[in-house]
Amino acid sequence: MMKRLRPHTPVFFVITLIPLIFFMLLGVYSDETSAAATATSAATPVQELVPAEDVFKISARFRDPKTIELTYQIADGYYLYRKRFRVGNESPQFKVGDIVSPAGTVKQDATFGRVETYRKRVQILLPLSSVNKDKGTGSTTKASAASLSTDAAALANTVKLKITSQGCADVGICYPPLQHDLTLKFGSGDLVMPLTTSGLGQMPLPQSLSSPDTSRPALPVSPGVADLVKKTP
Amino acid sequence: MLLLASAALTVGYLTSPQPVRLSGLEVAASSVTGVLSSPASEQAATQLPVSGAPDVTPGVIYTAIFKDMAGKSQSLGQWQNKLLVINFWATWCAPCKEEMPIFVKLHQKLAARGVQIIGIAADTSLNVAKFAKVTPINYPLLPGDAGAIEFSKRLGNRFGLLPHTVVVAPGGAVIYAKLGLISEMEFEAILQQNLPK
Repeated sequence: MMKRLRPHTPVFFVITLIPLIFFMLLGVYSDETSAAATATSAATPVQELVPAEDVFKISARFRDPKTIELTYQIADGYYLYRKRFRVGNESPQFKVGDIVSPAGTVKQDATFGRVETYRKRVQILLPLSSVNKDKGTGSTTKASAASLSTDAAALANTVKLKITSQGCADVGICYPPLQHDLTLKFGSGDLVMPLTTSGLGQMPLPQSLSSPDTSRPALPVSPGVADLVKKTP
Repeated sequence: MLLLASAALTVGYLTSPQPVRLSGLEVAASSVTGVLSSPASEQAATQLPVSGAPDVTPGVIYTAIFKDMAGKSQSLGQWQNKLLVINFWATWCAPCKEEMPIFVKLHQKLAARGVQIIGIAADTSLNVAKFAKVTPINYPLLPGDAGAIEFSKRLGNRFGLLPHTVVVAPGGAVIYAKLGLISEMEFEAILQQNLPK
């Protein structure tokens, strides 16, 4: 025969508390699950979208005296279009060459055909050259004659650029073109770029998102940079 | 038992959804549902991520003018007696293009019953023409470029996200607004319930 459990003993308290704790926890759990269910039914994934500046984090640095390196950290579930990067130059003393971007993941687009996208992380290179003045005649050389220069005077200048990019979320929504203002000086280290505007702004839209059929021409970048850049097939 | 309950509690936490970040999408919902014309559409709209249109008056909508593909100015005022569906899209927005066949289908089905669908593109006319050549669209496409995003923002889409779809009842009341892909069945039901008398 079972021994009768006497009240006020430690064993009695433990035995009576176990169901109590269980039901308390069960109640909390039920609240959690019902809250989760409600949120899931009421909220579509769109509500989990975050502001663009939290999704596409951008930092910039001088990779070498002739090249600015932009690093995009892209949150999971989001992507950027390769052909939607644009650079507006506000530095008269510099000329920006063609954007050097690695090959992305290829998707077929009904309108544009072959379209490339980036996920997680991508580095974009901007080749810079300085526009030198012809000291002999006092006249300014034409932009086409701009030469690469690493002279101290050029590097002492600050580069001011407007960087535009554009991306979407896998849940089926796209962000408008994002514009970042970049002010960078050689030797100043990494710079995290705050988002300036979100919208089409004054930047012209590209004529096409599609990738070129041919490889990009060789760019005047340092050998180290070339390792990073995959040629478009 | 205690162990099981603890395990279940942990699962409960793990399965909790991420916090909603774009609170503006929800906050503004009440301002849209406030002008809903029927209980059925109210129920449908409140379950959706609604971008609000707090300061939208019929004047804001009906005085908007965009150029069409032929370069001719088109005022939204010409559709004030229609159940007007404004779909903001762009050729660079893959999800936008994905849902456009739904609008084509609904326009074909409901145009004769007073529904007018228009597609305002945050894009150039050149890009839109290129798209329309591959994908024929049976409702007006208005390439609005930067102005399209600005107008979309005026209608409550404060981050300028695409696609953005707004339904305006005859007279100018916004009865539905959505960011992201629409559901064909749900959207058709909203239109059917709000057809002009």
